[in-house]
Amino acid sequence: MNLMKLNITHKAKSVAFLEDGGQMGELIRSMDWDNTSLGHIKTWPISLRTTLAIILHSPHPMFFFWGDENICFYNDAYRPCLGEEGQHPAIGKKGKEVWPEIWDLIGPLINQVITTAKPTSFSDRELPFYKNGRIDGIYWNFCYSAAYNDEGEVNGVVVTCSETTETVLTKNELEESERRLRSIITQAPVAIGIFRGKDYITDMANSLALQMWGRREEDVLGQPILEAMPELKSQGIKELLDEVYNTGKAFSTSEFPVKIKRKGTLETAYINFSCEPFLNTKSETEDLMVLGIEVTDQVFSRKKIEESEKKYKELIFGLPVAVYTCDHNGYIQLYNNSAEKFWGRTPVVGKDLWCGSWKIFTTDGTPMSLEECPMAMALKTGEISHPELEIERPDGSRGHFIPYPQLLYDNDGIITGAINTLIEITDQVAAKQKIKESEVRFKAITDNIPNMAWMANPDGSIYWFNKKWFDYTGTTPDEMEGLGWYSIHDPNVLPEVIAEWEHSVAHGKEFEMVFPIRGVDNSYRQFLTRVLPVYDELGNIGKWFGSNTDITDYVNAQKKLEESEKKFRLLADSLPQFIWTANPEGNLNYFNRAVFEYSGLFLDQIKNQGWLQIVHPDDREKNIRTWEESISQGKDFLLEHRFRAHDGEYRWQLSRAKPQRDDSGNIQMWVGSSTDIQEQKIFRNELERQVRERTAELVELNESLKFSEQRYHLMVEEIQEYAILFLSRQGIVENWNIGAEKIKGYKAEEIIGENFSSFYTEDDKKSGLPQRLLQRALVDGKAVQEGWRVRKDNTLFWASVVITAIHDEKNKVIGFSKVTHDLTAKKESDDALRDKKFELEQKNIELQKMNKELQSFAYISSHDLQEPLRKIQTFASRIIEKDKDTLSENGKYLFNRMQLSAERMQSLIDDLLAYSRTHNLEGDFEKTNLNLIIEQVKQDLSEELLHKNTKIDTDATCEVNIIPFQFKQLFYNLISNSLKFSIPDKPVEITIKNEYVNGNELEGEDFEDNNKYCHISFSDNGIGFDQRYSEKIFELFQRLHGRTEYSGTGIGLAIIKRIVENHHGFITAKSQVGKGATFDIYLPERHL
Amino acid sequence: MTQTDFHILLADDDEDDCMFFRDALDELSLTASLKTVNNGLELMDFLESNSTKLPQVLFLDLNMPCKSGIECLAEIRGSEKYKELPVIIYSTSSNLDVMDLLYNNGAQYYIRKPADFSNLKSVIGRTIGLVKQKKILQPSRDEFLIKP
Repeated sequence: MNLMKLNITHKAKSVAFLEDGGQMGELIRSMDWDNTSLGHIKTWPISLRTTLAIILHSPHPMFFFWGDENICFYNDAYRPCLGEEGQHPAIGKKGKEVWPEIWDLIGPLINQVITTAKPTSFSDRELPFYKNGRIDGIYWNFCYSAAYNDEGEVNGVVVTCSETTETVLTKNELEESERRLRSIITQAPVAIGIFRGKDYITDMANSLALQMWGRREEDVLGQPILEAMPELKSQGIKELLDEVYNTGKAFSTSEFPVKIKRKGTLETAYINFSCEPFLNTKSETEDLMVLGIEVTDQVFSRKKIEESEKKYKELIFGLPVAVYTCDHNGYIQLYNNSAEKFWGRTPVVGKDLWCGSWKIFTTDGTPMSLEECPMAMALKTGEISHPELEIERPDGSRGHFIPYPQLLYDNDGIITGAINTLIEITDQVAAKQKIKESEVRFKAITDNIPNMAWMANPDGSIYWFNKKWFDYTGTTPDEMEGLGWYSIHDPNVLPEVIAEWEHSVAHGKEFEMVFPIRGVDNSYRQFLTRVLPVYDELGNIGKWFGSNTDITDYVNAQKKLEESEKKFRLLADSLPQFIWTANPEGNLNYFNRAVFEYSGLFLDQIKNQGWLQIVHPDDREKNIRTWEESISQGKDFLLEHRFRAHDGEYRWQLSRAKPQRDDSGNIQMWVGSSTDIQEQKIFRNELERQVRERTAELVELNESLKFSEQRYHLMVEEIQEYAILFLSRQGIVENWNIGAEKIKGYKAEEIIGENFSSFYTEDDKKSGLPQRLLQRALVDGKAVQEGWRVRKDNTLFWASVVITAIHDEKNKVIGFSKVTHDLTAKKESDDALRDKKFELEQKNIELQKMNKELQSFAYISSHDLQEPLRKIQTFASRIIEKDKDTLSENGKYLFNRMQLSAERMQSLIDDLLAYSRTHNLEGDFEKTNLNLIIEQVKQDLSEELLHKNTKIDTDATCEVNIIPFQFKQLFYNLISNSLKFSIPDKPVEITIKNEYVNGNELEGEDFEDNNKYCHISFSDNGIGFDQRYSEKIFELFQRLHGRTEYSGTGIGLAIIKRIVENHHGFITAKSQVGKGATFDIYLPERHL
Repeated sequence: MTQTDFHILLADDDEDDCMFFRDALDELSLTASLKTVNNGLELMDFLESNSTKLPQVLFLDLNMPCKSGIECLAEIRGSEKYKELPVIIYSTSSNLDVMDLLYNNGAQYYIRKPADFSNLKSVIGRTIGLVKQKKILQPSRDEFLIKP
């Protein structure tokens, strides 16, 4: 800028300020200012001139209004603003004249400045200017500032201005484009955010961006994005932005996971976003534009798809079915574990072709190359097949499978590969094999069952028969073809059979019928035929299975039953007793002929409750009561009552009924009999025994009655102690009772039909004992035998057997009754008894031996004892004899005493010896006349008897069974005692009597009532004894007197008692002091 | 009569009994000589060696060691040599069965040794008297037992 030199003194210098003022300056100088309000330039105020000088020398466009008229001045720089035509030159003109079109606008502005002296500025004011021949919208930046005159008053306005039209226009354009940009951005389908500066202050964010960010506009605009969305801070966003910002390189990524706090929760969003820097002129990043598309949903769904794909893959490949895929060239890509296991080897991915199998075969064993396998064929030709194949594994094992190849296409329909599923059917094949085998087995079984069996198609045509069929009918499979089975039917029955069969087939119902079928021998046997439908897996009838069971025997048995029923009735009617049966409820349903004959009534009248009219009215109530009691409790019925005969007379009957039970204990029926007891009832007391005999007779009679098998069985069923069987002529067991079961161990069903010889031992069977017994029974009528029999469990029992032949009305033997009684127990007890007896005998022998030993011991010891004793006595007697002269009286006396002692000892030993001998039972019993014994004793004691003047009175005429020498001892002792204990100087009188008495006349529990006793009574007239000692005196060594009064050892009576006991008898003593004594001895006639 | 005419043989193992017998004989003033042997074996040996010069009578005790009187009796009576020899059983036993046995085996008489000496004398005296009377043959069973 040129600095103006202000020169105020120089006139020429007064225009010096215009120097270098450009054109305008020249113009000003040249102008005639004298006619203007300003006057000559020389008159111009200095301020004016100064201001002009400034303006003229300013490069900036300036305008100047001076004075009240607003004289216009402007510089060169301003001049273009006026345009090419029009205003220029406007200098010196009044403002109003220059700017008429805008003076309304400018005028006030100028005045405002002049008055306030405050500058104003305006920018980018649009002013319509006349420019370039037209009125344009021109934009100005202008500043009105005050210009002062010399007086210091504002006298003008300097307008510094510049046209900013272009700028403004550009700015407008920029604004416009920016607005457009914003609009685009706002409406863009992508989220766009523009961030300014290093702090990434959000300059702009479109609605999608806001949506994505979960923020509102006011939350983010003008703030650093990282402040507005603090959750982004730790996620590396800043780093990314920084990178772009610093390097100026754009960044883009897809599916960038970012956690954004939206709607209050932190969500993970996946965003494809790119970040672009906006560089300034210096290539520095100013703004960052970030574009983002939220692909969260896509990502999620893709992830889901991935996951489900994964799961699917896992599923597929975890399947127990072998699955594998090949690419379109046939190279194996994938395979699952099952495939691996199935192949028995691991294929090499990308190398193995078509199939992972080691070797493949067709079902008939032909090897198949892998190139020909269904998978290959599918891939090569597109042909899908599922043949049954067999695989061989490297380890040699095999398996059956069916492949299911499936081609895979891409979107364009081109084959990308194939997936193959191998269904292993080894098990099915094995199962089929098993079925075949089981069919074979089935056929084998059915061929072996005793029934005839066959199978028919659903339409009823039979296609298979078992072996038995052909065996029995004697037909061939050809003959039985189709409806060949017609030929073996009885022609009379066949139509009915066909009708029934067709009905069953039509309705799918089971078939059951009994009809005859002709056998190979042309005879017909009855068969129970059953046919069942066999359903397949769909529930339809696949076939019929039929069987024929031979029930000829059963039918025959039924007939037999009818016959035996008849037999029974025949038999029952032949009895004089009344036989009747009732059902479990107690209604009588059968009566034998005797009932009708006796009562004169008919069946209709007496069945059910009608029988009551036969019973005497007085007996009816008890009858009903007792009968009902039996029925309800199942206990045996027993009653005496009167029956009315046809002539009106009543006779006493004893009625009995027993319930017949089946195997489970339920009552099937009641069987009763009524026996006429008229006579018994009347003569009861007197003929009690007769009644017993009569009843025994009746029992015997009952036992030997001829019954039919069934009734016989029923009647004897209850007998438990005897096995009562009915044997056929040949010895076949036809009936069985409880006793038989008990004794022999077999149950009825096990033994009926068997020969009774099975009860015999092997030896007996070999020797033909059973047959012999039967023969004997035939000939003699009955055979009795005792022997060993065999039970079911092979144990033996001792049996008493009676086999009786039974005849029919024509006296022909129809069979045998066999009654067996188990004597084993008795035999056992007999044996035991025998053993015990033997034991006893042995003991006896031992005892006797011991006794004998004792005896001899006693004997010997007493003998040895006696020796020195005798010596003493002998020596003593010798001394007395020899030296009686030299001995003093005292000496003699003493010797005497010594002798006495010795004698006493002697007699003691003798008595002891005698006593011990009585223990010895040696000595046989002999029938002896007592008198003889007594005589002997009398002989032995003759001197003493004489001495005592004894009279022995006997009437003993009895012959008794005794041991003679013992009884001799007995009487010896008794008589000795009588002599000893006699009253001095009184003649001794002894009375011995005997008689026979009956045991029941004797008092005392030891006497047996039914035994006879020989009663011996011995009485004397001696000193007697106090009765209270009557038992004591028999005890050993017991004496009632002192030794000096009466001598004796006290053994005598003990010996006597022993002897009596040896004879199984009893002895008692009766006495009164001074009145003698009586001894009563009782000897039994019979002793065991 | 010389003492040597009548020889008595006594077979008894009891010294006292032998003494009694001898004393009894002495007091009986019988002319007889007495020889005693003390057991069965000695007896049989003696008889054997004196079979030609047998004594007139043998008084035989039953309870002797080595051989009992019963055995000797059986042997004596079983031998022809000694059938002339009367055997008098001289014993303490009073067992009837034994007596029967001895009687059946051929003993002549049976003496139960009495306790009283005078009884003993009388029994021996009587017996010898019987023997001297040549009653060799067995008496009846009733008379078999000589009571004092």
